[in-house]
Amino acid sequence: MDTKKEKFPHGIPGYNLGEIEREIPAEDPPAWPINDELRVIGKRVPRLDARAKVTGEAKYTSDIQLPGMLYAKMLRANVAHAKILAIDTTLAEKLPGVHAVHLMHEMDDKDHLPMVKFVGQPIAGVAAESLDIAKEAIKLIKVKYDEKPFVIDLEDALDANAPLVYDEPIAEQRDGGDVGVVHDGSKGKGNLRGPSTSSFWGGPRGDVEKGFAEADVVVERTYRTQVHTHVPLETHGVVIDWKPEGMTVYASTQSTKGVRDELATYFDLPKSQVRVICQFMGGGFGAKHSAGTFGPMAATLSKKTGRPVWLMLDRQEEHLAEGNRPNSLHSLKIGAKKDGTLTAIQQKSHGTAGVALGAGVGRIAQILYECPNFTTEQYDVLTHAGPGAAWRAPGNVQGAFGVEQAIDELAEKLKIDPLTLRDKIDKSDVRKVERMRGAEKFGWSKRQPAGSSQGPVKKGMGMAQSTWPRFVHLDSSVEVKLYKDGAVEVRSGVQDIGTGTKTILAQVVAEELGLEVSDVTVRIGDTVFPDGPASGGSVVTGSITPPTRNAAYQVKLKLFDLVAKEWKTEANKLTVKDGMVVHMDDSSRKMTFKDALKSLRTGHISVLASRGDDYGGFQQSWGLAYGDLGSVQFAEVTVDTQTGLIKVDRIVAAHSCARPLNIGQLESQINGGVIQGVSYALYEARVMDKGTGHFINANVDQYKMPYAMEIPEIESILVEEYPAQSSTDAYGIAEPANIATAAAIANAVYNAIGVRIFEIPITPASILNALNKDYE
Amino acid sequence: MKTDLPKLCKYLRARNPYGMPEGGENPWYLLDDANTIFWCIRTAGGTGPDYALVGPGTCQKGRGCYADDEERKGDKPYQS
Repeated sequence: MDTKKEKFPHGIPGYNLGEIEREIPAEDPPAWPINDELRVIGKRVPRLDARAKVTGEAKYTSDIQLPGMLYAKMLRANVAHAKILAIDTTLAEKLPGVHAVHLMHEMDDKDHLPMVKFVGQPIAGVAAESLDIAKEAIKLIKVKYDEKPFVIDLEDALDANAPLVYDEPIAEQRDGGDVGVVHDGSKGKGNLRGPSTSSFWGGPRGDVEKGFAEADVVVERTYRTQVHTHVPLETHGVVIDWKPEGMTVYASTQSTKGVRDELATYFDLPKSQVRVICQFMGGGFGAKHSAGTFGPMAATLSKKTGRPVWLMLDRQEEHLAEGNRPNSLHSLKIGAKKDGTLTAIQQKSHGTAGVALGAGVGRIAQILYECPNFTTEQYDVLTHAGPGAAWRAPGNVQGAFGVEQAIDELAEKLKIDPLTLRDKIDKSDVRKVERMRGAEKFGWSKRQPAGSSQGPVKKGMGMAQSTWPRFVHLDSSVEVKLYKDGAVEVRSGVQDIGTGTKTILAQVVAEELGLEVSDVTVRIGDTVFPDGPASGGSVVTGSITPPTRNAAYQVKLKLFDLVAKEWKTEANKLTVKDGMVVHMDDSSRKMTFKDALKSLRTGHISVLASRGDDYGGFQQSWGLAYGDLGSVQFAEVTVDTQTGLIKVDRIVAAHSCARPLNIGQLESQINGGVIQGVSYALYEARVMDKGTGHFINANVDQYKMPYAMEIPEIESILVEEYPAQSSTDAYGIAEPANIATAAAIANAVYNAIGVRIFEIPITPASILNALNKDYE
Repeated sequence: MKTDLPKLCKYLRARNPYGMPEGGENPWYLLDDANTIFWCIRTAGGTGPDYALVGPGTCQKGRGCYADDEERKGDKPYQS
């Protein structure tokens, strides 16, 4: 590969900004300067689709209407554990208006009736002329269950006599496995799986016993977090139209290509015969990457009937079966010397993702602070409940709730300010700057000792911080097209899940071509375009904006070649500025970008580019680039010690996503992450009935979420950082916005009342109980 | 990419906490198994056609519903 050397801005403006030389691919564009010197990037550009969204013009999946469309509904199990003995669909099939009935297990195996493992497990689907008829029809399906004992509580499931979710006791743990390491399965039995004892993030190191022996102070605590569902405004669902020439799928998804690939595999179709479209998306938060059970069901019903089928889940189904953030019982022991140096961290956790795996919480403890001695044991506990799913920073939010409280306790024991201790043990430059700037904006110097607030209504201040890896997906491509009539178009399969991807792609192209954002048409969310990354793990911006800039740059050079011929000059003498193509040596030689495009011999020219490796050798052997996205959040709370009521008054959220592309959109994402964090800390919790196995608050009434008056004032600080890793040097911010909030609130509550709460949600009852216990 | 894994069922899929799909035509990374979600394409869920848990430790040759790359769905129905 031909390369060239380029000088890039490097570091944090106002702290350590400098310059660094990188060897980069010869076809890549030159380095952008810092945002202050750019025209469109790093500015508050309004969302391109804002008007469409607020006027209702935007069509979400549930809004899709196709000629002859049928409506589908799924029948779900109403028992937690059973063998199905018989399913009778006769009456449903006879109901006028019903066009097809399909049994879930017949997707794969017609000969065996299924086992039920949780309330809400899909059993059958019906397609009918209206949703009401479909709902009526599923009531007519008779299911005969042979009910079996079940367990839905994490600690009950650990009992030696607990009903087993999976019949065979596990003798050897081999689920998952760390890089180069096979699990120690000696402790896996019954409903227990694990432990996961290491990871590529660091994992076990040193000697913890020796580390604790060297410690002057030790904090040892157990923290509890609840099961938390995703509650996107738009539920999971699809509209599928399966014609002989192929299937068109309108999906509410975080990955158009993921849904395409899954349905193609499921139905043995070439990918070219599955087209997935997601034009507008009403939130996902990690749970909407796959086709789910509803995808294959809708496709099968469409195939059976020869008609398009609409299948969107209702709110109850969403809660029951489409993912949740697993709970956790998280024990931490942390030792430190008098000067704050950490000597040992010992972590052990249990969590339940229901019938699935993935309830670990260990990453934050492994990586946030430097500590030479570390062990972790992370266990999954299987229960008869709906499966967990990725939820905005999987495992990290639960982990941070414990780690960041323990670090605060350590600081108190050492009589060191929590920020000073973190300055000592956290090696991240960006978090150091976030702590400095955040503390100043927040007014940290006004913080009083814990429990010193006078009167029954007490004020408290706290903070917490987080880390998230700066990943990119290399399978991220984009095409930039210039049309002879002057139009500019960006095309990629990447979906915009509501964060503003369309707008940042237009900004990148507009900046590169010297145009206005409104000059650029962005077409994304359709698998007929080049594959884009999935919207998960905060990877979209870092994955798709560099190839977008590279494609725009390269297509610009093609245009310059044509203009240079016409002007009888060298193409490298041309540049773009304010919508014009300009000769660098003679500013009188210029023409509008639109006029320049008239020189095309064809109707359009285009360049397709894909994400390359990060600059500077930041690449793992398995093809992933990474770095660190740091965040520090400060919380101010009011606690009424007579009623237990807690109000989060204010959050100052200091974040970094390398080069910020759109300030307004980033602030909006931070707001969303903080609100979800407040909700997680104080309100949301799945409540299960141990007697029936039912999720009893599977709605948006009793599943408490904050209303407007409960949302704090949120102030964001975006710390610009230039790592010089790609042509845009920009990364996402979704996960980091959510990780530290609950821990910061817990630390603020402690500061207010002088009694620490180790379990979320922190409710009025838990405040009063904690105060009473302390009083006793 | 994880290279020391035994051959896994062609219908096993996963998504790691960093948003990357694994399995199928995507390589197995298993970067952070404590937060990785596994599911079976055949059942569209975390339980296999045999109603046992799916995962790279169990979706291997020898399991009744296991299918390797040469087998297509339907060629080998689950035998209980």
